[in-house]
Amino acid sequence: MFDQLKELLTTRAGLPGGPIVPEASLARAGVDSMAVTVLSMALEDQLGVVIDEDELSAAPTVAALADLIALRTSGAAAPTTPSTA
Amino acid sequence: MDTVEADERLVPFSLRDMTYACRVLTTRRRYSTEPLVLIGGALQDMYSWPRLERRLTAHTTLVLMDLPGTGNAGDLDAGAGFEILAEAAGHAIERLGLGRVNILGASYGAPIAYRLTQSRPDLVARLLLAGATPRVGPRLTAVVRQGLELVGSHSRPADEPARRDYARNVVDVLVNSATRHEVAQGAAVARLLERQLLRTSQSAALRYAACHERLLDTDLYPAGGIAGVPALVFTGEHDCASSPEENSAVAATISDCAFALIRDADHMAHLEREAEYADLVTRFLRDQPVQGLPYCRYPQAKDPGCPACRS
Repeated sequence: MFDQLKELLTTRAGLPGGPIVPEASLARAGVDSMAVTVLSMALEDQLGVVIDEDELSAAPTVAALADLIALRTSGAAAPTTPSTA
Repeated sequence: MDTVEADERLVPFSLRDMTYACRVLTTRRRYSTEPLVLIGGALQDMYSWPRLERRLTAHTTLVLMDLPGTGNAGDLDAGAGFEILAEAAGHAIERLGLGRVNILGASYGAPIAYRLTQSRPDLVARLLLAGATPRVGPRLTAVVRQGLELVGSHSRPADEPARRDYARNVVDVLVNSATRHEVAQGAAVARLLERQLLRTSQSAALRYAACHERLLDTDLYPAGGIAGVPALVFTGEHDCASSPEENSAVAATISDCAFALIRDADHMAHLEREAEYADLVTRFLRDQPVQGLPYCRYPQAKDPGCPACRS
């Protein structure tokens, strides 16, 4: 997911790729409010997953952001069925 | 992208009863142009330009100001005009000891930069105005009045439907609703602005209102014009907060002023086409040609501009 996230941030949000490394904080990676907005919209458009800007911004690092998206994307692909037990 | 990590220095100022501050961003590079002082819009503060910071500090020392009444600065008397703000900006530039500077005034910052250049041309190497209009037009005036009503009659925030309606109206002027689909990142910028407006605290809303009220029912650019200072006026081609014609009218008051419209952008060109915005600014600061750029168009004086702006 990290590579896919980096691709979105560079091509859709217009960020330079260099600072986008897994261990970087979002601020250090250049992920500003505009980038978070673009990312939220791109995730919905491309992957069908809705993660709002607050949730994306709360990720402490780029790696954590990629993990969040991966987790939610897998959830979107295979929604859990409510237990009837 | 040519970016570098910049060192940041926060500098406080006081002038009479006003307190305010600026950020000075610089790198170890050797710059070939004077420092650039950026005075932004009424909804912005000195932290509102992260993308341009990254791009511009590769070419110049950048000074971002929270003038009185904006950002973290102290309040400004509601009756104080743009002359006071221009004086405060000039005071800060002198205190910084930077010598002559380039000044970029964007939107609400444009009348301040213009006045400073009129009153202290000795301080200004080059003047850049983005999103300038001789007077605020009827559409933006109506939105500003809606905002003033919202904050003026309430000691606490107005109800959500009213705030949402106001936020949409602001966004529809700043990110031209009629051409949003033609504007790079138009939908994202609109969404970002609407979220920010809906989260504005009552105290911040009161400060925004005070800034906006200063824009109404007045000629924003004093008579007398400007001569002898290289100048560039520009905005997005779809700007309807300050239309191409209005920007052109401001440019016409400055001798030998360059004028350009950034394609596929509007009043929020700095977010929509940040790379092109930064390139245009940098070229002008380096005395490179700003004509013939593929991302700009250069209308004649009678350019029809954006049809939606006239409605």
